[in-house]
Amino acid sequence: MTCDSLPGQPSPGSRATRRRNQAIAVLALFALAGIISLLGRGPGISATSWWLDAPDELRGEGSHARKPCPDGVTPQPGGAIRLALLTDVDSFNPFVSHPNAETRGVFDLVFPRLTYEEPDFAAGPPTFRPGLAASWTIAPDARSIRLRLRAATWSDGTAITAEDVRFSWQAAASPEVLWRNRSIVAGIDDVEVDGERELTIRFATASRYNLMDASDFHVIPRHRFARVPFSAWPTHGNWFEEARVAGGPFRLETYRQNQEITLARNPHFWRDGLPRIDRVHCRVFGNTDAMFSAFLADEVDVVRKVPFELTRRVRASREHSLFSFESLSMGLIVWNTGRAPLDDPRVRRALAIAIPRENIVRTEFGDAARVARSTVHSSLWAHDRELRPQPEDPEASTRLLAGAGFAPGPRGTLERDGLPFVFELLVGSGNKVRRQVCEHIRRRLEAIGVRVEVELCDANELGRRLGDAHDFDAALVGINSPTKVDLAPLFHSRSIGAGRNYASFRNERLDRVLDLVRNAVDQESAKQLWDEAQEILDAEQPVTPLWEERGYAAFHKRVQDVRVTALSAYDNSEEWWIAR
Amino acid sequence: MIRFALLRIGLGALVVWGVYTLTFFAVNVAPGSPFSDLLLETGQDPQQVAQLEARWGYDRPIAERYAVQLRSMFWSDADGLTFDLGYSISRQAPIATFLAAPITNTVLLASAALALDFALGILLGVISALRSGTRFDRALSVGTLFVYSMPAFWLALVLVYALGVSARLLPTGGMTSPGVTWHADFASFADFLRHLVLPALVLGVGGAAATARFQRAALIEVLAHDYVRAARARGLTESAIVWRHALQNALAPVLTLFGLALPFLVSGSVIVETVFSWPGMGRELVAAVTRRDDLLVTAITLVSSTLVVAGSIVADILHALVDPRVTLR
Repeated sequence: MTCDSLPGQPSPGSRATRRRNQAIAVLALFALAGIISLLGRGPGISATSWWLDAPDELRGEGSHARKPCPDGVTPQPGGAIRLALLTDVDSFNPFVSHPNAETRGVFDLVFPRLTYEEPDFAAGPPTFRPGLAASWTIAPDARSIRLRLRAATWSDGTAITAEDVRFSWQAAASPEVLWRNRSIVAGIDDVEVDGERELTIRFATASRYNLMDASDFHVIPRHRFARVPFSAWPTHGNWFEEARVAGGPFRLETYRQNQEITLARNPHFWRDGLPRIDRVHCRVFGNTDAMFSAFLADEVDVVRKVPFELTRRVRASREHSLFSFESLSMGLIVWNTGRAPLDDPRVRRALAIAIPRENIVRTEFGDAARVARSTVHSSLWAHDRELRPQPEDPEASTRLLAGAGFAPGPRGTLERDGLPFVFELLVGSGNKVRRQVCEHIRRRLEAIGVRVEVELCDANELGRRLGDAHDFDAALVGINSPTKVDLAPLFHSRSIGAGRNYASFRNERLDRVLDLVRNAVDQESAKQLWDEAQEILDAEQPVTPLWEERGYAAFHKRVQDVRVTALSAYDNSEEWWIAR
Repeated sequence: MIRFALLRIGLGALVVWGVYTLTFFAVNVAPGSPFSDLLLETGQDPQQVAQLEARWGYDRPIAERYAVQLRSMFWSDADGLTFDLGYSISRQAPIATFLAAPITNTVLLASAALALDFALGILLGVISALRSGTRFDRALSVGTLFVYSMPAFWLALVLVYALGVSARLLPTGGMTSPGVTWHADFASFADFLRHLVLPALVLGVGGAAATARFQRAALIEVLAHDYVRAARARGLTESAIVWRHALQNALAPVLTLFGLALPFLVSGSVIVETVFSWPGMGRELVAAVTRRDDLLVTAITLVSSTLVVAGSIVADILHALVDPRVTLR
C-alpha cells in the first residue's frame, strides 16, 4: 500500500480533482444566476426614445398640472400601464370598502359618478363637468336638481339607468350598510326616478354644494349588486369581486390579494375611442420605500402621491416627470380648549405667536410648502386673503402669558397657582416630518418657559384620543381640506361630541356666523361671512394653522397626455396613452 | 414513535392555544378599535364610528369577545361543529377564504430560504472543515460571522438598491411581474424564480452562516474518529469518506437546527416580506396590526405557531430517523 500523503490528508491527485470540481461548480452557479436574471427582462429604453425629451418637472401654479400631447404626435392606442398602490382594495364595493385615497382612485377607474369636479375652487365653489349625467338643471330654490343621464351601458351591455343611481344613493344612505362616508349624503332627501334616464334629486336645504354631494358617491350596477341584500353587505365584502361589472373606463379583470389588481379596458365606456390603454396593472406595495424602489427601477409607471422628501429622487431621474400642484393638504395644531390653561384664548394666542412657522416651513419643507394663514386653505375661494396673522414674536407671547397669570418658576418653567405650564403634544408616529416639526415647537416653547412633552401614537390611537376620548392637550395633525367649505362640523358648538369639534371650541358669535353662511344665497355675502369666521378663529386660536403643502405625483415619461389635479392623480386616465 | 408523535401533537396544541389567547388579549387590551382612525378623516361622523364599533362588538368587554370568538371558532348554531377563524374587517372577507394564498406564498419563500440555508450552509461547513486551520477556513469563518451579524432589513435594502434599482438585474419586489401567474407556464415560473432570488437570499443567508459554523464543528469532530482513519487506511477516496460516511454522522446534529430555523424564518419573513412586498403571511400580519384587525392578527398567529410546532415535531422525528442512537420517548 502506498501513501503519498500524511494520514488524514487527501492525496495530491485528488486535490487537483477537487479544485477542478469546485471551479466547475462555481462557474455553473454563475451561469445559473445569469440565466435566471436574464429571463423575463423586458426591452430596455433606447437613448433616442423621443418622449425622454419631456420636461423633468411640470409645475402647476393652480391646483392641477398638465402634460399635454406634443404637437404633431398622434396618440397610440394599446399597451398597459402600471400604477403603484400603498394599500390593497379590501372590497370591490365602494360602499363597503374602508375609505382611503388609494381605493378611491381605483374605484374612480371602475365606477362612474354623475359629474366630475373641476379643480377651479379658487374663484368660487367648483364647477362640474358631465359624467354619467349628460346635463342637469338646478331648481330656482336650489333644493332639487333634475338630471338627464347619457345613453351609456355597463361593461356587460346592460343599460345604465336612473334606477342604478337611486340604488346607489340608497346604499350610500343605508343604516344597514353603514357606509363610512354616509354623512356626505345626509343632505339628500330622495332620488326620484322620472324615466329610464331622468331623475330628480331632492335636498334638505338649499346649498351651492348640493351637486357636489350628489356626485360624491359612485354609481354601482343595481342588476348585480342588488343580489345581496344591504343587511348582508358588511359581512360579504368579498362577494363583490365576482360582480365584475363596470361603468367607468376600465373593468376589473383579475385580482390577486396583496399583489395586483388588473383592470382591462371597458369596451362599453361612453366616450368613443377611449380609454386608449388596454390594461392598468395596479401593483400593491407594503410601504413607500418599496414602492419608490420599484418606480425608479422602471417596474411601475405612476406614483399617485410622492412625499416631498422623495421628490429629489424623481427629479434626478431622466426617465420620470414630477408633477407638482397646489394641494389641499395642511398641517395644524388642535388645542383642547376644554382643558386649563388652554381654555384661555390669551394662552392659545401666546403659544401660536411663539411657534416659528416661517422657520419650520423653510427648514422642513423648503419650497414644498408655505406658511398657512388661516383655517380655510388658501386654494379655496373662501380664504380670507386680507388676513395677516401676527408674525412670530416671543416677547409678545411672554407678555400675553404674564397677562394670563403666568410667572417664571424656580426651574425656569412658567407657573400659575404653583403649577408648572406643561402640556402634551400628540403626533402620529408614522410621519417623520411632523415629528421634526414637534421638535421645533418643543424647543421654541421651552425657550419662553413652556414645557412640551411630545408623545407619538399611531393613527388609531390618535383618532381615539382626539375624537372619542377627548383625552389630549394638543395634537399636531395633517388634514386634507374639502372643497366644500364648511367649518360647522369643526368649530360649531353643536359639533362638540356629535361632530368633529375636537377642540371643544365654543363661541356664540362664530356659531351665528356659521349658521348664517349656510343660508347665504350669493357668493359675495357668503365670502363676507367666511372672512368674519376666519377673523374670529384667528383671534381665538382653537387651532393654529402651520403649513400648506404642495402636492406631487410622478409619471414615467412614456405616459402621455396626463392631467393631475389636487382632487385626483387619475383625473383624465381614459386619455392617457403609452409612447412606444 | 406514534406515541411520541401523539404526545407532542397534544402538547403542541396546548402551546398553540396559549399563544392564540395571549395574542388575542395583547391586541385587544389596547384602547380603540379598527374604526378609530376614521375619526381623523374629513367627513367622518363620531356617532357612525360608534355604531360601527357596536356592530362588530368592540363595545363589549375583552373577555366576552374572547369567549364569543372561541365558541364561534368551533361551533355554529346553524351548522354545528365547525372551524371558523372569523371575519376580517380589514379584508372584508371571512378569514378562512383568503388566508390560504398568503400561507402558500410564505411557505414558498420559507422553503426556498430553508433550502438555501441548509444547502449552502452544509456545503460551506464541509469545505471549511476539510480546510480546517488554513487561511481559507479563517476567511470563511470571518465571513460567516459577518453575514450572521448583518440585520436582514439592511441586507435587503442594500440588495434592492444595488441589484434592483441601480443595476436592474433583479426585480425590487413582488412575487411576479404584472399580469403573470407564477405556475402558468415555464416563462412564468422563471419570472417567479427571478422574483424569489433576493427575498430567499436575504431570509436564508443568515441561517446558512449559522448552519455552516455548526456543520464545520460537527464534521471536524467526526473526522477525528478512528473509523475515518481506518477508512483511509483501507484506501477509500477522500470524497467517499467525507460524503458517504462522515457527513451522515455529522448531519444529525445539524438537522436539529431545522426545528430552530422554522420560527426564525416565520418571524424573519415579516421584515423580508414587507421590504420586498412579498404577499405572504408576514405582510398580511403587518397590515392587520396597522389596521387593528385583531381577528386577523390572532388567526395569522395561530397559523404560524401551528407551523412552528409542527416543524419542531418533524425535526425531532427526522433526527431519530437519521441517528439510530436517538430514541423518541
